[in-house]
Amino acid sequence: MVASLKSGDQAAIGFLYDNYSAALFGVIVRIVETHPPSPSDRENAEDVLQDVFVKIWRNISSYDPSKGKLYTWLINIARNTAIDSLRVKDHKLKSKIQSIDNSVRSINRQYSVSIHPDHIGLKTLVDKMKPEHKQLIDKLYFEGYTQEEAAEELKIPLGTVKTRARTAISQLRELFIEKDTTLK
Amino acid sequence: MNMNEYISSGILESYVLDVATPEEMKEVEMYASMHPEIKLELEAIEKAMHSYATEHSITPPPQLKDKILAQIAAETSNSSPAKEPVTRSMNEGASSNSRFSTWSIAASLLFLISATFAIYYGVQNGQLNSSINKMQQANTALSDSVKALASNMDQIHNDMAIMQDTAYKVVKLKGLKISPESKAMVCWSPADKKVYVEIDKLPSAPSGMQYQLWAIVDGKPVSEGMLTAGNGLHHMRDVEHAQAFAISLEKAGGSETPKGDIYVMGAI
Repeated sequence: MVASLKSGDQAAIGFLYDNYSAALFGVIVRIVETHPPSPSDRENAEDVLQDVFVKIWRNISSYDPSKGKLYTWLINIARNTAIDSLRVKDHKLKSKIQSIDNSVRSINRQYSVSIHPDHIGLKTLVDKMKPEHKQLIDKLYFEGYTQEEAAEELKIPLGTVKTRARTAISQLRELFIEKDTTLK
Repeated sequence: MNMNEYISSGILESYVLDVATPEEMKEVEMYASMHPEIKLELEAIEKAMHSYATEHSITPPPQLKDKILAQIAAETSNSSPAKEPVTRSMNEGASSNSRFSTWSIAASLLFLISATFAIYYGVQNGQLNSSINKMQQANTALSDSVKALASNMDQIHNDMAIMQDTAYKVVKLKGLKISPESKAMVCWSPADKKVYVEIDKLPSAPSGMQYQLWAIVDGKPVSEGMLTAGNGLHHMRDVEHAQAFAISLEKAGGSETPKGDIYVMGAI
């Protein structure tokens, strides 16, 4: 799969699209969504998804399987492209130049994403997570917060962010193992 | 360093969430390459996060796929793939988040040069070959499914013939207390002694165990043979005078008399 992508096989990118676009789109929608929601949110998310796949296509050669799974790499691209798109938009809106780092973060606050179970679909499994665990994982994994930013936002010590992230993911692992066993 | 301590420190989670510092990332990659248990733990964390992302999937509008693929196709015909920044963590330079070393940049450049050659000379050939391969695969898959359908049809025809044959008695086996949901059906012809069984619903047998069909003849169980997986009617041992049929869970290979729990039973 990765080999055929790297050799420039366009059918492979179609396959990739079929398998990963919904997960990537889910991440993108959560990041670009404004509050209150605006009709242009979906359109923006679709543009970002398009950018994401073009980037995947152009940069597949820099993906290194020994450093992690393809899925992780794809999610990282989607998250970062979505955050970058907010930055560009903010420049257009305010025509104000900020240092890249500051603006990514300040925008992220402005468009701060919360959890909308209605458009996410059934969440029975994930709902079993403790709210403070889910909140932290969403901030870090879906919204591109750094650990420091998450600590500040959630008003918890940095050390707690690390341990809580581990506890949260351990809980997720158990939930998904449980689900796998019931399916069998 | 104690690897268990390292695993429980939370650093592997930070790595997968893409929030570790560049130093931490290098460290994790080094440990993962040296210690299989770290690599396994990383993979388990990735798997959980992938499931999490999958749970939050939102399907993009259907027409978007064609649009995106068309754009990629246009890119390919206009120019060879060029590198551009992908992710902040990978491209902000050595000062902040880079996972790149000088060596990997050199390797990327080498790749780029060879990729350009490959694209100029090999892309069309590769595309043709790959479409031929895909068509062959699709063809094989199609003919396999036609064969499977035909054999299913044969089985259904045979089963229908038996069920419609008035010489056969249809005995419904109902679930007992241990598994009230279970059910099965036996078709038995007293005239030519033939017995067929069909499983409608039974819990899957644990490993080392197998279901066994019994005919009750004058109050005594007589083995009709072991049940095998598969749909439709299964031909079992002939029996002349049966008053009831039952299925029990036995050790693989079967028992001479039923020793395990009886799951379903039906009297004639």
